[in-house]
This record gives sequence, structure tokens and C-alpha cells, in this order.
Amino acid sequence: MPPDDKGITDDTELWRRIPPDQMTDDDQVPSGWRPSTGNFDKYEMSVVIAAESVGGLDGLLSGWEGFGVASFTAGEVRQLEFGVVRDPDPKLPGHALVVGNKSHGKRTRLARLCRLIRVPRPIPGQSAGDG
Amino acid sequence: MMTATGEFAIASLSRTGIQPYSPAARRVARPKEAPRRETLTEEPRAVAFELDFANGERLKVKLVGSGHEPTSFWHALDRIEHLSRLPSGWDSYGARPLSARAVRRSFELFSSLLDDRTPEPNVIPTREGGLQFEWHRQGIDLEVTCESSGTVSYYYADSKSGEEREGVNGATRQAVQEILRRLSQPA
Repeated sequence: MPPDDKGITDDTELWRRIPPDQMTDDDQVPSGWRPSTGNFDKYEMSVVIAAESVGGLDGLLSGWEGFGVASFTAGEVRQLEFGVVRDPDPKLPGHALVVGNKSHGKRTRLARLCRLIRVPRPIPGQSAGDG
Repeated sequence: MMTATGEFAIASLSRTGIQPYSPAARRVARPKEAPRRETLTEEPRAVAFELDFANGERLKVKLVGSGHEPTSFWHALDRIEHLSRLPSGWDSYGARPLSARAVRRSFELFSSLLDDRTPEPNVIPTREGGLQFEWHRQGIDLEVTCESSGTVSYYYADSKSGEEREGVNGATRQAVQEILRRLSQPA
């Protein structure tokens, strides 16, 4: 099992930036549009703990115009057998890592279960689902 | 600057019922900053252009086809042109720029991936400088990845049957064509 900080409770909300170029159509999600699996393939995947993010969504997206934000909970990623650990970064309060081997199937499940709380700006010529 | 040259046959894309490619109309419609494509006078079914990548690579491309390529083909070209300009760190997490090798491999696969009967893929950059062609329809997930190393792989999952498989290089083309045939059938 990957390392896991149980001090981060299951209901802790985690955020990850989503670049506009990494969105894909998917008829299995209500919006018809979701982050590509390529957003979630790193063994140590960078996230921030939402409650500790300075400036909220705008703070996370400062300097990243047009990006979206995907949200999921620590409990949801633990159900995929990933761990969540803190990774202190002075420039990014609340920085943490979702740790674990992200098989293609697990990446797809995470891409479908996450919630887009900030929708990326659609790229011209690229579909933007129903939304 | 590294320069690669490739000529990629796309003649097998030809199907009936597709609007012919109109180079003149297309040039008018293109944004000013986009690379200019020219239909070669000695070969009216070929299109030549160059891609300048953010990592300094340059790829000279000659696509040879029928002149009746499906819309998805031109959309994919537009996407690749756009993605070739993504700088290092484009995803905010240190992603690499798109590599010319990945694009070469993509062009080599075009005739397998882009057919007027198959649904249009999403063309997505990967953080390692590769390109991913994705379809998620009718309970089927298909992702074909051309990596910056030149490796081509695919992932397939069918939520109805529970089947899931992956393959690399030689196993890819035939498997992907079979899956795309299924995706092409009406729901």
C-alpha cells in the first residue's frame, strides 16, 4: 500500500488544476465532458487541500488563466487504493500528494468521479460537452 | 534545431459522401498565426506543411491522400498544430512540450484512426510530450497513445462486458481498428 496520512480525513476535499487542453468528451458523464486520464497518471499526483488553499480557487488558479479545477475527496481516492500525504510547499499552502500506482482503469474512474468545480475554458475547435 | 521529414500516406481515408478538401477556402479560414499549408502543384492530393515545436524541433510533413479526407482528419491536424506550440510546463505541473516523434507516429497511424465512419477522436497532449487519441462512447473507452519515445500503446475497456485490455506497438493497429469498427456501429 502507498503511504497514507490518516490525519487527512476521508471527507477532506482535494483540488487539482485541469488544463483546457486535457479535457475529453465522454458520454458516460452527465456533462458529456471531463478531464482526460492524462491528468491523473503520476505516481505522486499534486493536489491541494481545499480548506487550506490561500485565496480559494482564484488563488490556486493565479497565473493559470483558463484552467479548471477538479475536486475529489481523500476518501474517494482511498477507495481507489491511493494514499494521501502532505507535501509542504511554502508557495502553495495545503499542498499534498495522491500517491499510488495509477493503472489506466483507476485513472478513468478518478476522471469520471471527480467534480469540475471550475470548468476550463474551451479550446477553439474542441468540443465542450453539453456545458 | 532538429528537423525531421516525413511523408505519410492517408489514401485509405477516402470514402464517398465526404466534402472535398478546398485548399483555397481553408487558407481563408485559417488563423493568421497558424502554419500555412500548401497543396503541391505536382501532386494535387498531397498537402505539405511544417510544424515548429515549442521544444525547438521542426517537422516537415507531406500528407498524401485522396483529397476527400473526413472532417475529423482536418480537425486533428488543427489540434496538433495548436498542441505543438504548448510550452514546457503547459499543464502547470511541469509537463514537457509535444515532441515531433510523437506527432510522426500519430501521422503514421492516421489512416487507422481517422475514418469518415468512425467517431471523431479527442486529441489530447500527455505530460511526457506525447499525444493521446481518445473515444469514450457507448460504454467503450479507447485511448491510443503515441509517446515521445515513439512507443504506441492502447487501452480499451467495455463497461458492458467488463472486458479491459492494453497493448503496445505491434499489437496496437489491428486491435484498434477492430475496436473502432465497433464504435462506428450505430448505438
